[in-house]
Amino acid sequence: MNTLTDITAARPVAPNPGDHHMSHAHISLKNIHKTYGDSVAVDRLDLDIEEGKFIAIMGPSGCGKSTLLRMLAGLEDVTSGDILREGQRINDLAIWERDMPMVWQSLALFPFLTVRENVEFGLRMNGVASAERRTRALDWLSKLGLEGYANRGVDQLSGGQRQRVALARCLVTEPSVLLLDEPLSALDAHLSVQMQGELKRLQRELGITFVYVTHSHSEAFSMADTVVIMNQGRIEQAGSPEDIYLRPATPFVARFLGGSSIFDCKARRRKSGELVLEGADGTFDCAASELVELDEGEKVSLIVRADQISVTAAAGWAENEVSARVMGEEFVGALVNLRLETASGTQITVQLQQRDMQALDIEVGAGITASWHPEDGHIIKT
Amino acid sequence: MRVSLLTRRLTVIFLGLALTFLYAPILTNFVFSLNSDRFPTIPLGDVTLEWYRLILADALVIDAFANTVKIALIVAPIATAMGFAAAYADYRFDFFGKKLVLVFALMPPLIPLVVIGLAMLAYLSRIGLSGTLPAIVVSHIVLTSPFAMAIIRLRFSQIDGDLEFAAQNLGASNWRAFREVIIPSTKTSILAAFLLCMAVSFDEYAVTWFVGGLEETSSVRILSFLQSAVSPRINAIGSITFITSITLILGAQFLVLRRLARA
Repeated sequence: MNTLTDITAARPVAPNPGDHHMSHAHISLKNIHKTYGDSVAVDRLDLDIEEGKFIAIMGPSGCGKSTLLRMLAGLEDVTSGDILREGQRINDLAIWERDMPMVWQSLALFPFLTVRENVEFGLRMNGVASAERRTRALDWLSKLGLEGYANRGVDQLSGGQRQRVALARCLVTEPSVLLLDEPLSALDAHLSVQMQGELKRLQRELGITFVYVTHSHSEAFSMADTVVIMNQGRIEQAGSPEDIYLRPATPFVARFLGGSSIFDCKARRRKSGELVLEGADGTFDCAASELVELDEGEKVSLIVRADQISVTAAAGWAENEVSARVMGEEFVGALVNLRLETASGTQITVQLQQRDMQALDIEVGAGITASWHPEDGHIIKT
Repeated sequence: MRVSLLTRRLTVIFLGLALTFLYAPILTNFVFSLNSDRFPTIPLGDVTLEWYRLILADALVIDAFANTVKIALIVAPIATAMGFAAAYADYRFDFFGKKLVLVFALMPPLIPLVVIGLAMLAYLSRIGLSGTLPAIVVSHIVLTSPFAMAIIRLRFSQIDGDLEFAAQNLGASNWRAFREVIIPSTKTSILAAFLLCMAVSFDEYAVTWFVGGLEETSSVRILSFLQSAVSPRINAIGSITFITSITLILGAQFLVLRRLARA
């Protein structure tokens, strides 16, 4: 695949000469390829990152997301392809010439320096005079709620405070890009949610580009303007969180995000002329808008979100019905995730309100009918 | 952990015995070095510094001490630098055959000293170095650098591998990052390695005896004294050598343990 995965796909391709303030690609990855021996880590990938946007790159471990970030920072060489920053090729710049500070997963704070010295480090490397260094470092420490900790050792701080020192250390140099490599993975859930809010606020206030690598859905979807989902060194889908949630582009994305049921089907034309989807679990109708581009015999995945499936004890009530057995249930607050399995082995996830669940009186192992409206199915060609 | 009183008492007694066996001879050595009697017998004679005065007047002993100090001061910086370089390479780089290189680098202390001594003698005499101070220096570097490497590697194993790159990421060049991150993180272990190398060089006897020829260090001098006649002077030299090396080793221990305790 050599097509440009343009995050700003909604924009017209031709630049509008009258609009100088239109956001443009700040960083472009062009046909980036990275191999380690025989194994391909990043596979001819194209990506444009808009200036001032929060972009989250996510995917399962080993999908190449961290390698991508490390190539941006210059920590890994690019096997082939170009990294452009404002149109300038930066492939051959050394790590220290790139001015793309990174918040490390391990934080990588200098244990032999005080909090203030840690924050001053980047300024010192860039030859900023000592008095100015001090002012700017203290300024950032107070912005991040760390006044009073300036002269402590970093090992005397809590996890959340260390996180903030790592942020201050990067932001004090006033970069235009900040790289973040799973920075919240070491924090407990509560603190992580709090930091997500702070990160998003910081990014919006500073207006700088954040490139955030994570494997956590909640982090990516709660903070990012653009989510990029990677798998096996390629981009599966890039778009707004809403776009990806509502319209997963590939079965992988649907599976990776979870919460959806996937039916493997084939398009078949009825005698009446309309297309239906036929699979091992039955024959399903689908909205005409989803079916337009399908030909007879084409293989597709039919994706139905968990909150759009309902369950009934008896069959014969709806257009799209599947009979299944109850495999288990998980309580998530006021909601229940019901796991079902059809005779052919398809996994179905249904999300119900707690009280609906009680009204149904379902037991594990019991037979049940799952159904959904034709317009709630989303089709992906496979 | 809860231990019964009996077990604890037994352990303490055992430890006491072990330490006594280890240190009693050295202590005796020290006591008799201050004893006026010619032979180590009890009851003791008067307290005297006679034997120390005698060895300090002995040109052979003074030469041997001077050699020892000279050698240790040349060996320790070189061996420490080599040990550091090897430990840093192990920390920072991955390369083909790394394990093998490490095994070879750490091997010398495991080879019997007599074997090393013989091999060194054979090789050094072939290149016309045997019987000289440089020969002793070279052999001591071979013997001590693995210790330096081991100590410094222990420190490297506690350093976050991202630190150096984090410094570069914030604008420090390769060399600057090394100076700003690696040196401050490892300096105490470098000092500890330096002291330990000096101590090992100070005490080393077997290989020195093989390759040194007529050049003597203090430990070789002690043996020469023993071979000619038993004299309380040996006790005096022994005490001085012991105090010097134990000071160096305790210094190294202190630096290493302080680091470990903090980590």
